Amino acid sequence: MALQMTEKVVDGVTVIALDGRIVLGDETNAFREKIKSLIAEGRTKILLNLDNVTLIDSTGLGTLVSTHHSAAARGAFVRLCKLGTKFQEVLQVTKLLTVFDVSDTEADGIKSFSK
Amino acid sequence: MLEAHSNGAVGVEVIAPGGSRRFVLIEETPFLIGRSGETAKHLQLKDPRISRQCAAIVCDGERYFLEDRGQRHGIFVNGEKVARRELQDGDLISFGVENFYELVFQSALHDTTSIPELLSRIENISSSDAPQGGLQKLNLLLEATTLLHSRLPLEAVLGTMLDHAVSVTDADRGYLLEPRAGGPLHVSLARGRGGTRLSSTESAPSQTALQQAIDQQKSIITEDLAQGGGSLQAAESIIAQRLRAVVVIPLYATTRASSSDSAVHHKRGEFLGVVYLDSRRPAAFSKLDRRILDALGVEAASIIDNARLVERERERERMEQQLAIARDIQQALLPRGLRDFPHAGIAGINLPCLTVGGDYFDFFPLGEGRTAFIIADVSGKGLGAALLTTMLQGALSGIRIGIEPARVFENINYFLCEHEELARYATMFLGILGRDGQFEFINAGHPSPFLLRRGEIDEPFTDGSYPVGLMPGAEYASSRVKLQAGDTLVLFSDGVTEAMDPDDNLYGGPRLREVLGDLHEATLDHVQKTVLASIKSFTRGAAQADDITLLLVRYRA
Repeated sequence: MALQMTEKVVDGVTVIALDGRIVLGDETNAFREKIKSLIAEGRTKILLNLDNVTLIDSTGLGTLVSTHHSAAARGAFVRLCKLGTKFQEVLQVTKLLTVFDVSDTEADGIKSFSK
Repeated sequence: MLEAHSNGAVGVEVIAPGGSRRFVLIEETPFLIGRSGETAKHLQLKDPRISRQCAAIVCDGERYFLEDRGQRHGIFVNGEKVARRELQDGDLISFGVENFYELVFQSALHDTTSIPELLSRIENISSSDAPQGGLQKLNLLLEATTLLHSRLPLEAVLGTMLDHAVSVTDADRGYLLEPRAGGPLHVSLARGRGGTRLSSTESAPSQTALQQAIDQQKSIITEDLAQGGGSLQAAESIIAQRLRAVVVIPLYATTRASSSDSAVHHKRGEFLGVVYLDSRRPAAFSKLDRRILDALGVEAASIIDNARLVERERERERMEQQLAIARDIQQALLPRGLRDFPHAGIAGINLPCLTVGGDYFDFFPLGEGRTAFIIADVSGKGLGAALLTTMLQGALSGIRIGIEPARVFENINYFLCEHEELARYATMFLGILGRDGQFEFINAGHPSPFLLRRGEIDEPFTDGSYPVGLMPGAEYASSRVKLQAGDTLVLFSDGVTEAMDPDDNLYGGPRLREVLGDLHEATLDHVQKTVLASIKSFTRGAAQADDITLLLVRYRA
């Protein structure tokens, strides 16, 4: 599988650094399961750092959106930071930029939860 | 030095990632395999993931060897990484890359081997270790082996195998039992003497004897109860059936470690099942040579193993036929090629990366001189996405009977969100072009079509909403602009801009713009061909990773 997920907690925010490809198959499945288990543990502030994501395909995008929705339905927040140009573009084209709370830096992303 | 082979046909079956197969004869060795050029002149697998020079099959007169000649991910025979390995008939050669070509080495081609030849060959192997008395009986069994080469139903092949086992051992009944996934053995065939079928009311084989043979991993003969082990004496079913003699032969898939001489070593493989034979005559199996049972076990296992291969192959063929039907239907649902409407010319093409795809386009006339056209891209690819394209097409055809397009989009969105377990969404772009140049469009998360106007290229159709199927309750609305005579719209799926070359570089929007730069006056057919040729030359033979769809619309006024 070509997606690494590294987890840390800063100021009560669970930061997941994603490294690799968010694409159809094991990657999206592992990602979905990871977020699901975090929410089941009661984490409500989840920040995804996409700095090292090299590729997101259409299925990966769909998974991000559905993760966002299912978190919201359980009172949790999934936010994004450090989007690459390419992914920013994809979110622009699909109008999904308005759906996600997006920060430029990880620090800003963490701060956004305390506002 | 190259050596030509005239003795018997040897070759490799090439299984493409999509499952299609072709056969390549090994006419000279070294038989060179790789990506391209002189270094792979016998078998070129055009895919950037393997090395230019990859592997070779060489021959030392009788035997064939596979050699790694620099494949960066390694060369594998039956899943085992090798530098050099002697090849056996049926060996599977792979290249350490997922979803890639696989080769099946074939040294005994079925259509070139006559049945007598095969029989005599197997007989020769067996004669060195089979006892004199067993030979003739063993030959009966060999006939069964040849049945595999005919197109008999699987059950008939296994039935014949079992009949031969009954005949060889002179038993009353024969059972073939196979393991169910995670469960106990179940009877897959039951035969009496002379090939009669046994009814289900016949008493079942003795579980105790079966278990004993499986535990010991070898065939057992129990002459009668008095001589059986303690656990056998206690077994009620044996007593109830008053059986006198039982033979149980466990079957294991075998891998021939070496067949260069008659000393064939069989490595024990996957447990395939059990042949169970019994007889009411006392001491019925006392004269049976254990070597006959062993030979029986090996042959029966090989038949079952092969039969399963045949079955899997047939299943694959069936699947391929079904996919071919799906492809025909999907292509038949597309409007054909170039079409002229009074005020507009339209040309479209759809190239799925798999047999069927998740892209589609459509166009059709509406009343009052208006023409509708659509491009859509369902997330994912292959059959799953393809199933949804037909649903989209059906729903969108509602526009023809006067339903407001935005309501149709909302309805599709509702439908896909309702069935969220589909985990699919689609980007779509719908355009409706009037005779007066009035252009109404709805963009659901799709890349803006390019507008070619007198040598200028723009992407003005970005207004819109989310892809359908992602945001419950999303609203859609039409936007309106006016087109000028001679304007050309280029609609495309992201398979165009995200086409990749062997180094994973993207074709990209800027390149598409550049190609379209001076094509605003070219015929639509020419524009289409030029764009496709440009993608093709950019990707340099890299496997197409996503569906490619291109739809061109020119307003003539």
